[in-house]
Amino acid sequence: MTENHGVREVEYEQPTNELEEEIAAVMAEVLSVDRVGRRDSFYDLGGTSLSAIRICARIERRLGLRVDPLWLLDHDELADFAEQIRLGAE
Amino acid sequence: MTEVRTPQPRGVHTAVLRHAEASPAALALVHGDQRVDYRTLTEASATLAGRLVGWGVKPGDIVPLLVPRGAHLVAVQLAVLMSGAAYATLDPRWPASRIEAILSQLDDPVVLGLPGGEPLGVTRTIAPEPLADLARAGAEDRFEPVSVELDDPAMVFFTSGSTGVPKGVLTPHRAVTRMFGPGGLDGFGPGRIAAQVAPAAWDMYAFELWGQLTAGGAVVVVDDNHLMPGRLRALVADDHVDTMWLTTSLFNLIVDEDLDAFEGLETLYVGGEKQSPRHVRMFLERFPGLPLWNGFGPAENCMLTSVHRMVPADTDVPSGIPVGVPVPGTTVVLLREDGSPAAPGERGEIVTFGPGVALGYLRNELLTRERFPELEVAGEKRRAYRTGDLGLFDDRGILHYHGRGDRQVKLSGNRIELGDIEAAAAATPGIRTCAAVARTDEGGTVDHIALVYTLVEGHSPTPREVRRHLATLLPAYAVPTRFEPMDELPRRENGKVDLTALERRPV
Repeated sequence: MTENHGVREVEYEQPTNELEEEIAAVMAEVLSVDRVGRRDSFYDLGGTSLSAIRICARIERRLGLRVDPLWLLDHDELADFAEQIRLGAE
Repeated sequence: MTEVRTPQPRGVHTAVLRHAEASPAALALVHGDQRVDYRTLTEASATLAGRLVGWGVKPGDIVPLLVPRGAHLVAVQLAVLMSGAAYATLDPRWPASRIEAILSQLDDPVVLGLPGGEPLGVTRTIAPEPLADLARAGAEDRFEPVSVELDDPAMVFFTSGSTGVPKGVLTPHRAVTRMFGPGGLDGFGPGRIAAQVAPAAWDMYAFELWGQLTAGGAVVVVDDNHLMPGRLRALVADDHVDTMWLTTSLFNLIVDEDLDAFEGLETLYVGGEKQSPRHVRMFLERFPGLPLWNGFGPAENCMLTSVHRMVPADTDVPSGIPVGVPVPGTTVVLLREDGSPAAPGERGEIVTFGPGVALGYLRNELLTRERFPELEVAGEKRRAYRTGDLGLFDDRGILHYHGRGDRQVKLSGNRIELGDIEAAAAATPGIRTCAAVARTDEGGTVDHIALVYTLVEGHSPTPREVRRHLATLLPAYAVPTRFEPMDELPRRENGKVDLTALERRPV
């Protein structure tokens, strides 16, 4: 049982590439958590539509990629969100 | 003393048609690759209005719309008004149960939507087509728009109800048009362009849209439901948007992440929540000449009740940034608990009078009588709206907001009754007792809503399961983002749940 942030219901799975690592770092920063694993859900970490906009704005600025907050709201696990961003950049 | 000129209230579509007559080729609406002038918009809507009347829509009806934002929705809304009826725009993404709860409050309505919307309750479909094509289609046999009285209903805004049933705010034409046009609010009128970003079911959608279209200005409909700073930049640079309304939390986010994105705007309204002095200060330091308005008011007194042009000194006011002076056509009185007027400098309930006051809550006479009483002001009995908000006037006559006495909160500009969330949570399998609490950040803005709950023995829904169940009952913005199971809820001596203790739990 956690006190504040939702509940992590999955084992931590380490990011497997640079894009996932960058996105995990931004998500951790905005959601005030230590780390975000590949199968962690944005919603379980207390994410809101506003934090989705913040995460996406930071990714756009740092990585120069176009990111739509809907990608995160619809694909709330880190690995799936990263895949959307990768597809969007193609 | 010269008399202050204030806009003349009109019928919403009457005002739009006046501009179509005076400047038919003036830009009215931009959406994607459609650029539509006043003549095309009003002719397209007249074509649609003819269809609506053929389907049995008549003056005085309420027509629910399950249509997403865009040029198509604008044309449909204007068509409903031209037919003499009122519209209630619902969000097709709301849970089906919520949409059903709203539709069941209406008497066998014609429900308009896109093809495929039938499972949600749509009875008549209108496929989107370019407004220019619609305008041409009706050229042979043009529908003559119905004229309305200023007091006739124009739109219904559904807001969170404290017992889990959404309540509809029945809003007349006069309320929508009272603050726009010559002598009205800054940023609206010929040559001005506003972005349309607010959710379509909201009264601030009407602010962005009808604010310009009833005053002769233009609107750019933004498809994105989540405005990114980069998109704002493009709206100003490419679409020449100069007027915007933003909810406070989105404004704060853009100030934090990309302050320069506001460059080029000429009027900015921010509201829906308490202002953050830090963000206002950062903005004013960067854009000292750009009018930044604090906009305040509940849907029951249509869109805005008071506005305040913010200045750096406001960020040092201990009770927070003032909400300002009443908008044109609105009178604000502060009343004590016993109903007598508060003395200057004394706190009281904010009560509004004038053409902005709604007709009442749809099919809810009891609540309408309670919130919209006839009160005496300056020796005259007038209909009022009791906001439930507390405020005080300072010695310059400027209104300051002092919170609420009940459990209604604003989160990212959305009005939420915590009781609505608790009613949904109580219907979740496995939950025994629960409380929804709003936790605020250091600036007093609501940061998140947490659901604190105990479980029925033998049940153990995970927070994810609880969240998913709530998402089937509540609009997405009202679903809590923190879930905190406990063995027992803390209680006060009188046995009631100690909400203050739950609000204070460390973040």
